[in-house]
Amino acid sequence: MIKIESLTVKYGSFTALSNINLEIGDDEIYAVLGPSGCGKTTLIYALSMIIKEFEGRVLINDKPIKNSDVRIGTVLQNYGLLPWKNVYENALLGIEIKDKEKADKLYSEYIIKELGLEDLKYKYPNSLSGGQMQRVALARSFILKPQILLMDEPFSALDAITREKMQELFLNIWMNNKVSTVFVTHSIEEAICIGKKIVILSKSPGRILKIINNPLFGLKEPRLSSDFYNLSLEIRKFIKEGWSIEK
Amino acid sequence: MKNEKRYKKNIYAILVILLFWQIISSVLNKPIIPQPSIVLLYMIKSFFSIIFVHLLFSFGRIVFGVFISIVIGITLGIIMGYNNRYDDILSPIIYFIYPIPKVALLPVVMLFFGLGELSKIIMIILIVVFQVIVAARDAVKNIPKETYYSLYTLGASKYDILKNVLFPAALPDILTSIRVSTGTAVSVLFFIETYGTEYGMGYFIMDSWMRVNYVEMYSGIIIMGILGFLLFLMIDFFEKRFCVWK
Ligand SMILES: Nc1ncnc2c1ncn2[C@@H]1O[C@H](COP(=O)(O)OP(=O)(O)OP(=O)(O)O)[C@@H](O)[C@H]1O
Ligand SMILES: [Mg+2]
Repeated sequence: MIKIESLTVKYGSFTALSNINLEIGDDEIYAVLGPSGCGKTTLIYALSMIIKEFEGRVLINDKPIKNSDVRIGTVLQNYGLLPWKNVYENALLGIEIKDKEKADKLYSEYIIKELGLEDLKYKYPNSLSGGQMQRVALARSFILKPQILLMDEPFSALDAITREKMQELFLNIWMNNKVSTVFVTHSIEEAICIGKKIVILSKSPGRILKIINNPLFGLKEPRLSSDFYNLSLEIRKFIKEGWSIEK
Repeated sequence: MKNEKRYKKNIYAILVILLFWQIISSVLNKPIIPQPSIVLLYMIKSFFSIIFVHLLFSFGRIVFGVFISIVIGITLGIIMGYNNRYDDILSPIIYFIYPIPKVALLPVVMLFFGLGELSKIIMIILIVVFQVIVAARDAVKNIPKETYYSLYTLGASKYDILKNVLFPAALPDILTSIRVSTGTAVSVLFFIETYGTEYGMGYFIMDSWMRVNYVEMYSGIIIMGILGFLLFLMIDFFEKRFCVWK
């Protein structure tokens, strides 16, 4: 469980995130929607202790985060791959650092295959497309079998079809291995497909405008439901107002 | 493919040099520049009996000196690149010593470390180590901070970061700096092998010159060229082996 208590993050005197309160249960995915620059990446950084100086508290299972004790899976916006490691080494980096022993070969091979990375195993990041790099980052975080999962627009570089396939695959893997997850996106449809709760942030500095309980969460084909359309319309309408009130 | 092309280019270059040499020696027709065929023949004939031990000494001094330089250079360079506090303390010292022509330090080094092997190795280290330090430091400084982020989230130790980020990030630049400084090191090797030793290509060349054995002298010069060439090949090999990702 991730508990965020009045989290405020500043870069110098600039406030990037303002008074965030959330409680993300062990079997919950929070999809975070927000306009560009509102502080979504900043939120991910604070939750993963990349940024350590902030006001408020972030607790994991009621304890302050210690990266060495918790298994935090991340898919960072810039993918976070090391250019000198090939796809396979990058995918296994997480588990190697965390466990200091050889990874569960079967499981990692399975994930690599599922993510369509088998033919790319010995390629280096500088010869991959953005979407391929994202898949490597996904593989790394899945193979880690994390206790919490933080994803910063993990599917943004994928084409529409691959993206839907990845969303489905992600949910499949997640269902078998439920962990508290923060999933940042700026696609309304993706938020509805992925999130159990949908958090809408304001323009910078990001505050929580609204938390929506997603009734479509867990459905096999949410896009086929008539509620899908209504919900996305509702969110769209809300966002139109919410993201333009200020300024 | 690419290798073959380079290979052909090298052969071509050697042929051109031999041709010029042949022309000049034929035109001059004096013992100070003997025919290349005679020199090459002598070189092959006496390689194992006379030259090889000298080559081995020179090669050993260079490789040992460069190796020590790499160890010192990587350690200091990475520390300075990673931690600004050490950089602030050490950089001024390095900037002061770095531009001094190292040959100018030869008398000082000889005074302090004598005429033996130690002063020779130290001369080579003086030439190579600063380049390595500066290259490693700058490479580490140029690592984007995002590169560390995924390791931070995993709770990586200092050792993990060194092994997975700092060292691999700095290695290509370190090899480049060694390539640059090895050329200088070989030329200085010549000087430092003219005193306090009876082994090494420098000694071999000077000794044959004194004995007015020009054929031997020229074969020594060629071997010295080959020595440099071999060293560059070695660096190329390491680059191919460790920097595939570039
Ligand atoms: N290191 C930094 N120093 C100062 N300001 C920063 C820094 N990083 C981000 N910011 C600012 O903080 C705000 C939030 O940035 P953040 O990257 O969290 O936005 P985001 O919601 O992830 O945007 P996007 O959707 O474009 O990825 C932005 O206005 C940005 O300019
Ligand atoms: Mg972002």
